[in-house]
Amino acid sequence: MTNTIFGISEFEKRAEIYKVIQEDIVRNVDVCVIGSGAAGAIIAEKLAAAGKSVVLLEKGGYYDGESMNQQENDMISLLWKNSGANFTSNLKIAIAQGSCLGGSTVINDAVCFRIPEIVIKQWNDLGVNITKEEWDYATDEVSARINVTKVTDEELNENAKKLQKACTTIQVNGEPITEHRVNDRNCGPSWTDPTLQSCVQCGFCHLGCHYDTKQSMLVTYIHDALQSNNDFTAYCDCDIKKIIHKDGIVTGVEGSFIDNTGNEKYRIRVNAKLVVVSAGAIASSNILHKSGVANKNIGQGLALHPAPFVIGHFNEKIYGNRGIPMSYTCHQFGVTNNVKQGGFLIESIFLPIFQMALAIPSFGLDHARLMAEFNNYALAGIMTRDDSVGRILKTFGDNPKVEYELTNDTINDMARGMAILARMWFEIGADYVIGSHSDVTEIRSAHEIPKLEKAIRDNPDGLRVGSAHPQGGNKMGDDPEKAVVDSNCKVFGFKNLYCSDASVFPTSLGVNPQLTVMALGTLTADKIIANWPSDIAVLDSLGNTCDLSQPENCLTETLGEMFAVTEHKPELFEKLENSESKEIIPGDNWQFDKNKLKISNNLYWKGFYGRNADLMTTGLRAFGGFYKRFRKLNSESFSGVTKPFNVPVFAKSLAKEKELAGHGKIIHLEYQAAPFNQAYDILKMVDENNILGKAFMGRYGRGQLLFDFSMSKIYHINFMGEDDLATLFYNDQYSHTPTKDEMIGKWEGMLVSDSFVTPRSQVFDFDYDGSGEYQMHYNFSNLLQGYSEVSANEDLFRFDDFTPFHDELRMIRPDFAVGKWVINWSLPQSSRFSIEELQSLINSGASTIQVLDSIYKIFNLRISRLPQEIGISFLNVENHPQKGSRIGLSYILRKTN
Amino acid sequence: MPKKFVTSYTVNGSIQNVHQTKFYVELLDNDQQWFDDRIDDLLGSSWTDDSGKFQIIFDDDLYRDNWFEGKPELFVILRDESGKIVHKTNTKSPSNPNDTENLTFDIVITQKVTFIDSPYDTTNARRIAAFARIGDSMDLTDNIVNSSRLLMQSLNAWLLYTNEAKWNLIGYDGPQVERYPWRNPHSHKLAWSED
Repeated sequence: MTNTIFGISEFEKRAEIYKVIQEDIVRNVDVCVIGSGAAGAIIAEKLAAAGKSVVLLEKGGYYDGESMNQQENDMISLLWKNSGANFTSNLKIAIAQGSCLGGSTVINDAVCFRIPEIVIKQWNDLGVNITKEEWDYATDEVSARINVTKVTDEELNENAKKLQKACTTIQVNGEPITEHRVNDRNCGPSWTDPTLQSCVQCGFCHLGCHYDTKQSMLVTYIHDALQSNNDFTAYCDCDIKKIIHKDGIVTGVEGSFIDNTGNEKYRIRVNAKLVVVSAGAIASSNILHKSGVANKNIGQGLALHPAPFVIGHFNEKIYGNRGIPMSYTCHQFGVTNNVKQGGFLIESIFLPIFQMALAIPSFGLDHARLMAEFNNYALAGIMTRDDSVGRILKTFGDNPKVEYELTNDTINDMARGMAILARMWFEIGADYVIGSHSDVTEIRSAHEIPKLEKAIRDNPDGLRVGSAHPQGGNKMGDDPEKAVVDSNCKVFGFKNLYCSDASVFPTSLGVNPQLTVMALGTLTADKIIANWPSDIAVLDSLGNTCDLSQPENCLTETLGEMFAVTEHKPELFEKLENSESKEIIPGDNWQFDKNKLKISNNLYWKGFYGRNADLMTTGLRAFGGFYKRFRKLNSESFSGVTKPFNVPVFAKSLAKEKELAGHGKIIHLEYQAAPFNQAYDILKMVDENNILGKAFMGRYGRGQLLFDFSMSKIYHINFMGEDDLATLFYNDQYSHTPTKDEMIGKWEGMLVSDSFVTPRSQVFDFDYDGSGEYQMHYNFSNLLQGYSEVSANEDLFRFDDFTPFHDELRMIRPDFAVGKWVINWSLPQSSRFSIEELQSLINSGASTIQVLDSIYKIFNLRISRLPQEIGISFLNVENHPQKGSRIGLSYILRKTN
Repeated sequence: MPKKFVTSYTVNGSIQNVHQTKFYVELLDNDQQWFDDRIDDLLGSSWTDDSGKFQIIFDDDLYRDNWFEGKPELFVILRDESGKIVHKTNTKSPSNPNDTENLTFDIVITQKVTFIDSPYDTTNARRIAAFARIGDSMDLTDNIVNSSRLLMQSLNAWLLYTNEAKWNLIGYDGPQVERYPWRNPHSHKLAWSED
């Protein structure tokens, strides 16, 4: 058996077997691993080898060596996270991470350092229960597979030799530098080109290895898993939406397959006994955030290994781009030389020309002049062991926001390191030195080095700093109050959710982390196998994927496809009939499943369009909602009515079963009066709760197709209407007035109209502030933010903002509530105000509050005269026999943590 | 009422495909091709049998829209079991309107999916999507000077230093493989190792 990679991008030439995804996917497996990088790939391969069925989900695409063409313009966009546009929120630090099958191991410079002993000890002190022996066996196992070997002297390029020479030449504080050596790297035989046994030395490691000699996850563990007889599948181009969980048990993962423009094409639901998040630092925290994993430590303690560089210009051609970019390191000032806090490594590195142009901190003619000397440069970086002071937040748009500021200790390390490196270049003959600081771009002699140091300390914002090693955010430890995962990488509070990658590092590592992450992945896989949760069964759920039993989740074209090959079931024709009552009778023609959050509504068949994101279909969904209602006329036919929710139209129809050429038996829905009789529908009942339909214009059987649709009697609350919400809101059997404590937490709100439930439109955050005052922070689509005053008693949970409107909430279950943003019920006639009264009030010098109050009263008077259906989808009018009328919006709230 | 004369046509066919044998076959008339398959001109449909064969019988009143309509122009759409269209044939007509028995479609499917050739064609779309994605995760207004400088320098670097002419001017070696490496057999030797 050979396993397969699936993805969205339609690119035929692939080294591995690859198939293009053409429909939604549901998989039931033992393990779902999110992320295919240094940890995820190993965990997936090892668990598959241990007999588990494994699905590996990767956000990036699959690209093999032959498609890695060494062009920066092509490859950064294809292989790097966010096409390279990945920064801290203040734009001060660029963060390089891989986003492709194999993750960052595909784009790193193949540097391999074992975890330093001093770090093992420090992590032990912080509650990490992993011994040196465990790290050793895992590191040895990984090193053997990825072929970790030393860079040979012959392989050192001129750039690395300059650093080697500098290390042997310079003295710091009167002492020679003793700790400097060649690096280990993971290079070996290419599986696609047997003539290549080791590194070709092209210098383009971080644009992907064209030759497949860099032993990344793509050509080692993933390749092994694909070639094996084990049950392993990789899905690429998959953006994780959320991990599904309840009461500490994870049941599955939901994601979307996204195209090049970031739009959803298809969906995936993986039902799994165990889920491992290995999406890398930043992304793993973001996935846990999005999934509502309630641990306040998620996103805290991010380190970046920020690295400025120093270039030396020599009066000779160095051609630093030729050869292995990172092959030599000065360890004297770093953790590998027993520096316990902070410190830095000086690492040889070189950049292809576009990235070099980005790195040199100047502009215009100066920049051009400096770039012209590209071949005469020697370059090295100061990789600092920084403090874990950053944090990852989740934005309104669900994106990760990285907040990070350099600390004084790290700035001092950078200043010291850059000064030492600048002196190194001068001592071995550099004409001038370029430091990565915008205030002091060039220094012409060693005497000017203090100027550079001062600029760094005085204006650290002027530094051009890069990072390729984000770590932390989901710290490991033994205390659930301080950490996110335990020493097995199991997420606290969960039985079957693991997180294993650089995000669990409790502190900055101090060396290039890929080998440590791989060792951690090895340990995690072995521990999962040893502690397999045998009492967990796979939940068979379709999630939000398209299926005949939930056609409201399907694309329009899929509705058409299903219609073509699905037969109408004549035995269900009788079930077309809806309830006699035209009003909702809870428990009779209307029911609510609190566990599945599904509404069963026999008042009518609710119509649905495809889930497509194009403008036309989105518009139809938002404003073109409809229902069809049927009553039995005789044994062969039903009288029906089609009603668009927002238009006062009732199109009468007659429904009869007929044979139609090409379609077989169908239900013909014949509209009976002009102008609707120019159109007709054909319907197929696929089960007693779902109908597939096609709407046509023209003569029956020869008409032009207008659109495909579906209709259901059972639908998820994500498809509810205003009447459904009102039924939940006003019935004590379904909802109750929450207490303040019940509402504590973050809730995301979706507006509800009869046609449409919007994507997230607002976020409410209820909590007590530092002084013990209960408050609610709101954020409407990042456009409007502020605080509302909450008042809650046993009858009403209400909060007010600065408008005449207020919110009222009812809770359905601890993670789900319904709400209304409304004005007060209309006032008695005697309290109403006129425009003339308002003018006289203003003329009399009334206060702003008095004026606002009177405007509200006028507004209230006007809306009380509005009909129930006012043609605007989301606004609705409530009429109450005693209280009067009020206008407002309805919404649902789902708790996110 | 004048008597209406109806002619029945019989269409036979077989499908050869290495991946699957079961198809849903739809027979359509091509007389209103401007509307593509949005016109309801289905003449008949059938599942293939175990050997990949099918037969569809239809009456000519299903395709005769106008008095000038002569013989049908038929084509076949094949769908897989989920309803996805996997093949569409060219049109075919009987040799004369009275030849109602000899219409056959023998279909050989060789390629299921059409692939694009290059993953680089979508570079700009990816880049735009990336900027859209990071939208609300940046505090651009916190440091306007820094943001503007970064943008200008990125534009400068992109415009000038992804340009091969500029590389030549500087003497930069550039990539050691051609832009579309998979298209042609190529050497894995480096330019400088051949010096």
